[in-house]
Amino acid sequence: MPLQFEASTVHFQDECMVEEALSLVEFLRTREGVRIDMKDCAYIHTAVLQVLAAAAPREIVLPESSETGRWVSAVLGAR
Amino acid sequence: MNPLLDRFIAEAQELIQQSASGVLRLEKDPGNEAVINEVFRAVHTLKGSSGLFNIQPLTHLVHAGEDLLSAVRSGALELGNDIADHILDMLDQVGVWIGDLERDETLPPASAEVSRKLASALRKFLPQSFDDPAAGKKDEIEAGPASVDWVDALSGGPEFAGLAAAAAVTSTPVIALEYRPQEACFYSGEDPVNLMRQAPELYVLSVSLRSPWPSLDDLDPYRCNLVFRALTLAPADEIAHLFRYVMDQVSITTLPPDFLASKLQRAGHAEGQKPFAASGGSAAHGMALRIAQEQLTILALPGGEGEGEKRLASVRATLANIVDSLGDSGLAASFGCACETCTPASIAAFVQDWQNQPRNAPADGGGAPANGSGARASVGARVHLPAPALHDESHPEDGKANGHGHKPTQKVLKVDQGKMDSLMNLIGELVVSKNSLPFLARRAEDVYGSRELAREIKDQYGVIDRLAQEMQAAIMAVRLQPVSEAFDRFPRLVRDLARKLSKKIDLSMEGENTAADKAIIAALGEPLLHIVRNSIDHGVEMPEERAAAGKSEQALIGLKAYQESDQIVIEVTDDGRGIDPAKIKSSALSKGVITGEQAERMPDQEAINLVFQPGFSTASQVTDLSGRGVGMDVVRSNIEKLGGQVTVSSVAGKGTTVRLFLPLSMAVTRVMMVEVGTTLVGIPMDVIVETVRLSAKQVYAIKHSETFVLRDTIIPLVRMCRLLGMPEGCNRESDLGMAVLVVRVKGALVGLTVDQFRESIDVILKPFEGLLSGLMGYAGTALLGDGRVLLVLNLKEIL
Repeated sequence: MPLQFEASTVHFQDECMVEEALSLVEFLRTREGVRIDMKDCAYIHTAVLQVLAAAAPREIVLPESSETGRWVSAVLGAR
Repeated sequence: MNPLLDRFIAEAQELIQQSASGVLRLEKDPGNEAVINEVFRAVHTLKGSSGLFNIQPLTHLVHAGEDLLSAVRSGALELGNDIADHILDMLDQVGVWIGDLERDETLPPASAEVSRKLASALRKFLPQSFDDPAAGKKDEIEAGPASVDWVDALSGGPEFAGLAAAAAVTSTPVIALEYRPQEACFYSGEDPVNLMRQAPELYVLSVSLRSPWPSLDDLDPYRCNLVFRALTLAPADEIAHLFRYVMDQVSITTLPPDFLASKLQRAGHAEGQKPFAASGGSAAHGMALRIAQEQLTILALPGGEGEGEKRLASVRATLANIVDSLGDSGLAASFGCACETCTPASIAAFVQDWQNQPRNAPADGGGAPANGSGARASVGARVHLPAPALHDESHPEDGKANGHGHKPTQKVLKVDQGKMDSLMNLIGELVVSKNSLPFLARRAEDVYGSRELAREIKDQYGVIDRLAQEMQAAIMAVRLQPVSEAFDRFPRLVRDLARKLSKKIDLSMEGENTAADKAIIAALGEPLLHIVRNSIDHGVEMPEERAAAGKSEQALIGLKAYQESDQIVIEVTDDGRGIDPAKIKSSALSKGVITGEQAERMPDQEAINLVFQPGFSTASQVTDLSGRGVGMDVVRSNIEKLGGQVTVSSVAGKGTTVRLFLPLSMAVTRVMMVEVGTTLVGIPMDVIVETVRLSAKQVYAIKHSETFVLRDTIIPLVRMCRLLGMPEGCNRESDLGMAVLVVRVKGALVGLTVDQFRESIDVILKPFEGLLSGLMGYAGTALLGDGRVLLVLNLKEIL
């Protein structure tokens, strides 16, 4: 599973494909102050990024790849 | 390394090889559609998976190749030698890059330029009429800068100034790209962010929202709400090509090279400042410094040979103008120093120094962050993408990264089977010649009387022996193949046969990864096919019959492979009607295979084993599946030829299990050497049960046959010398008694009298060839360490 849900943290791993968006949004709907850890994430689908942008989580650990990280921050910062 | 990248590299190497060999075949046979499709698919897959990574030059190049192949596939283009050359060049280049990726996880700095050159060479072959989705949009691409008011909104950041300077200095038009993905684009498999990521040389990027985010409860995660805007220096057609599948959602505008600079100037005027003022104010300094920093980016841009020189010259001229306009004598002096050597390194050092001088630090704070600082998680949407590291020609690491003469490393090597076999033979020879060392040691001691030399030879022998064994094991491992090679055809076969016979059958397979020598796997196919067919045809009942017997209508056939010590076991099970011993007996009786008396006394298991008798088939009628007179006896002889065994067990009404026991490798045979008269012969170890010594008193003669009793069993005794046609009476009795080898042949025990037992050895058995190949009674020959040839008997043929 590319997404590992813990009590207050979601770990993103490897490749997060489009179908993860739904489970992510369902999880985030039920929690507050969730921390997102994308350190080990190599690929994130736009739909998943959108969910994160809309949810504006408390804390985000960017992916190790700075290239991926820049794109994540670009989408999360969209106004 | 990123596991995804790792997988991609391995896959890419295979795809490249596949495409290259396909292109070579196509060259000889240009019309072969199957090969065209194969090559196209390989290149298409390569392009697709490369898109996952930030290696645009590679993706673009492969893309150009894919387009060309697509034209070939559609018949618009014929693959001539010229095109083939270019495609092969492309594949070679991609191969080199894959090697770079494997080593550095990134492409070399010059790759974008190389990619562009090769790609445009490839595109030259494309016929004009060939469907280029970008072609229709040419007008739009060349439209004036009217529709790009959003560019203004981006002009605040340092990267904008950098881009403006780069565009002005290199006279490259700037491409303004706006991408509004359709709201439903996720449903058509699009991934806008990752599509944007593939756009080359994105200098300024902004992501904005179509509408503000709703609350999470109202959020539809599958509605795309993003709009992407970017400025790039990449050629417009390259961008158009990248977005060719979403052309309706993209607008591409070409801006003149000085367009951005004029924007900046206007912005500067609006704030009441002169950006290039000669007065040396802090704002002017900041701006000048910013431009100077961007010159470094330009220097670091990827480029071909000679281009670096030109860039250096233009950067130097730009810097000279800036320094001049500031009228700062200290700065001018240090710039003069930097120009003396005038290498990218000295220019970089100059700009760095300038940046570090406190008096020149920009007061407004808006500009000049450290080069290459990444975006912070919470910052706005502006991101400076390419932040290429400064690179200095004199730096030792760069020499490595430039990769002169670097070959891509391959992880998978495909080897011709003949070469593998000759390697196998060589190691066989080595094992044999190694065996001559102990003889040599004995000679050193016996003939030359040097005990010490003998011991040294023995020491050396120990080392060589160990190495040879390891080498042998390694070569064996290369030849190992998973059983799945033999299993793979069964799902389809079972399905087809079941439909044909209107039976319902489920197939389960287990242990497909169990590995054995490829010769074994290859030879396994036929017998296995026969057994499975038998199960489907004779074992599994019709659905009604199964239901009546209280079983589920769906029958189950299981294929299972596992390793047991040095054997591989293949089990074929079915839950069909099983084998009825009574039916077998009566059938065997009617065919004259057994007598009535035998039938009465025969235990059930033995009756079941009758299926292995030649010419035995219980099928009441001959179908086109089995029962063609080829029965389990063929299976058994095939498996035995491989040095294996077959057993059948069955419970009437419950099902049947056939087990095949096979050696893991056929390459080395263990034989026991025995002396018969003056000759040495080998007996394969797998038939030998035990060795016993008999005194003459223990031998009974029953009519003309000699027998002896071993643990309450009467075992026939065969004189080996008679069997081999040697002079009578050659079997001498020693004080210890007669040496008898008890062997199991065709399921029965036989005692063989020999003169002397010798050691058992591993040999590479070579079957007789040529004129000798028809010789019965021998399994083949093997070479002994002292150079003698050992004849290995095939007892099944002579007893």
